[in-house]
Amino acid sequence: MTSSSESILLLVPHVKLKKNEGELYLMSERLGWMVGNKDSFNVSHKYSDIKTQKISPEGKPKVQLQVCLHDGSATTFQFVNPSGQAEQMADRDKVKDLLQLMLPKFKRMVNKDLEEKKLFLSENPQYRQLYMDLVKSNVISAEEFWSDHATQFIKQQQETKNATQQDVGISASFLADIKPQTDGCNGGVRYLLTSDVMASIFRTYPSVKQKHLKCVPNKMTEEEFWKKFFSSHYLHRDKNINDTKDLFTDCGKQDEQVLKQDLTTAINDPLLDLTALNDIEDETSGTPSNAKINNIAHQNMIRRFNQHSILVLKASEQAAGAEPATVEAAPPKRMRLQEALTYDDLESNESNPTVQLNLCRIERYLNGPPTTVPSHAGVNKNGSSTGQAIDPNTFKSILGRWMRGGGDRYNPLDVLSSATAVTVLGELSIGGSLMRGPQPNSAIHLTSELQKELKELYVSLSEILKHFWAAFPPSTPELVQKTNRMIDALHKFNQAKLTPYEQKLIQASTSSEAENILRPLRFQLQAAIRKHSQLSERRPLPRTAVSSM
Amino acid sequence: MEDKEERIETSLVAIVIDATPAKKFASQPLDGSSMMNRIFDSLIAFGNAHLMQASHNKLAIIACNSKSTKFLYPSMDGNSRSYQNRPGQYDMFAKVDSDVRHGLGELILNDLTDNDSTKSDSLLGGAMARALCYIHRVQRELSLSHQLKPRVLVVSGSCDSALQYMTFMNVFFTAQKENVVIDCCMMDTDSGLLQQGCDITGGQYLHIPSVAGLLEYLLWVFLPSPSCRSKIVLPPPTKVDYRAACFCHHKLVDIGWVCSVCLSIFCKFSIMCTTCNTEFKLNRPAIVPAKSKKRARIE
Ligand SMILES: [Zn+2]
Ligand SMILES: [Zn+2]
Repeated sequence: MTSSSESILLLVPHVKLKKNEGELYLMSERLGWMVGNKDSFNVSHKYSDIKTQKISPEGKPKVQLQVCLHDGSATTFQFVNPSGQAEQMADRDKVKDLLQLMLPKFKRMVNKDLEEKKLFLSENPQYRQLYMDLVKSNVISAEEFWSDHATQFIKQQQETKNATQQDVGISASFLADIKPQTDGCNGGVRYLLTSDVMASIFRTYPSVKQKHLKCVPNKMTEEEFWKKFFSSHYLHRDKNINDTKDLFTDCGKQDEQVLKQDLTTAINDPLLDLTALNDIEDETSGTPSNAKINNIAHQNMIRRFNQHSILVLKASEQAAGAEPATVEAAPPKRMRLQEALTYDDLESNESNPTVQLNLCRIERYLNGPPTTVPSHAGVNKNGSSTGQAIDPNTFKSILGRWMRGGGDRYNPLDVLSSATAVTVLGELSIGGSLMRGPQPNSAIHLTSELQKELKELYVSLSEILKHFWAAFPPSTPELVQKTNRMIDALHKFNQAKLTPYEQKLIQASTSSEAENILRPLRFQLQAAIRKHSQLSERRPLPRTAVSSM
Repeated sequence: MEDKEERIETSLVAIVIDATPAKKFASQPLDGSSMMNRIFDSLIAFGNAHLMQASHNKLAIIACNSKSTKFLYPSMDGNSRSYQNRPGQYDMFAKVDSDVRHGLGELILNDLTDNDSTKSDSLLGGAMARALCYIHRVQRELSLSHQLKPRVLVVSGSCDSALQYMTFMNVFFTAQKENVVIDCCMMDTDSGLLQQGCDITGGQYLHIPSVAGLLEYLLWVFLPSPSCRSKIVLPPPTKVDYRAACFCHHKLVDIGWVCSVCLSIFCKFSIMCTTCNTEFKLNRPAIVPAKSKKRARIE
């Protein structure tokens, strides 16, 4: 059944698909084909899935149209209008034209998506490697990769979706950017206003927008309105303040009022003294009259700036959108004063709640593991060896003799006899008993390329395994399906990746070594497969659900 | 760059002597003397050999037993004892000889009167810590034209000092931070802890098969400074066992459970750390006893 919300843009009867005759529907988002007497589509392609369309060349007996999809497959429709080939061609052209119209719209969407993915892969080499290993080798499908495995991408996408889009602001020089064009015949100057410029003007001068809404359709034409606007003193009031009334005089007044209102409502900070910001007249500058004019011009300028700032602030409050944009009420004066007087970093930070370490075995904590062994219980075996036999007095005399052994009584032979020295030298020379290190590990001899490949295998396998085990316990049919999918992927991985790599390893070294190197990988693989088969024995799994996907 | 080349390298070797097995070695006769004499004489000879290598070289010798640690050289006694040099002997060598003989002998004799030196472990960790402190001081006092290349040489014959596990580890990591190399020459016994220390600080660990040839081993393996060791063929590094012992059964474990609060190591999972009473909340509410609710507030 086609959903009722879809509008049918074109219906072409007498279209053959694989020897069956039916009707071709072109809807707003997809095309579909159904056998005449049915009520559901046998074939349906979304426009966004379609890469291109192809038509059979002129003069061929069959009039055909082929749509090629992004996944490489294609569907060919043959137009078999009984009225003859001319009609068939007409039918086909209708479809072709409409498709030509529709496809670019959806193509942009697809391209954007593709580009995003491409960008993501180029920015994240580990995911690119994973993509190459898992998708290119058909271990898992591309959709699965993007939806399940590229978690970071999904997160990124959601973030961009969630992020509220910010309005593009108005260029500061938008009025200056309107370039006057000299009009040849009238000697006047022409301005070209685009709708963008108008929108900018409206946003800068909200009162002008109101005026425009009021006047334009009924009182004057668009052109007149803008002419008046540009010549009005409202726009130029900074330059010339005394002028006769014109259309925009009340705009100025209105602005003034809005400004005043904003001033009273927005600033309710008891500690803020705006009068302190007053410009102090510079007495040394020029004649008094000159200074006054300057002052008025300055004030106007400042007023304009202030108005502009208020508009900017309002715009930013609006942009906050969903979040409550209410300005929080200014805190009471006392609190504000308190705030100004106290400094957080000068306060003692006693308030930090500390958790007391509740040690019930302090010696264990201080000394580490073996302290609970009674130290006399043979930790130190010094005394237990032959030394025990020596008599303290003998020891004392030996020691005493040694203490007095320096100086004249020094006997060089007490230090080293030449025979011992030669023996030691033998031990320390190459081949000597002390020079034999631990046996080198055979795995070290892998070439860097094979090593890199091995690492990639590990990454890919653990990615699939991660998803396999994440589905445990498979309590829902979806989870069961997921384990099935992952097991399929594991089998594919074994065939497409592990086995070829093993061959390479065997060529590079020996088969036993290859087995050694791959043992952990195979172990992981087998563990998952064993678990899965146990599961399927206990409860027959709906394998069909997988194959139909 | 230039002044770096001009800085004079000063190599400081701090020898840490473990004196606890002295009795054991004293009972082994050797060429009319005893093994103990041989070892101590070898150490003096090695110290002097180091001093002889370059006039800027510095030496420190610290000895320890189970009761105390003691600076043998430079002597901390203050009043320098009179010493006797053999005809033609370099003054400093004679001083080293005399100081070590006197200091070490005194240390052992003092311990002997207490009479139970073998009952507990030697304070090797403390002695190494003192060596590091000394190195630190020398480093600070050294003029800028000199560059200190410090290392510690531990000569020991006792088993792993279990009581001082933490001290050892602290010493090792401090040394690593201070760029002090720890070398170790073990007689008779092997020490897993010191192996780790040498590995951590990039030093040489050697378990010598015959104590009688100690001096030869010392001169051959430990006299060359760490910087030139890469150029000579030395015994290959031993495979260091970094496994930790669990706190509950003192078994070495490959993979264990570590308390996230006090870092105690356990070989089996339990719901409460027996060292600090922290309860571990895993996703198994059924097992947690009802008592835990009271404690939950503390955490
Ligand atoms: Zn245990
Ligand atoms: Zn704990």
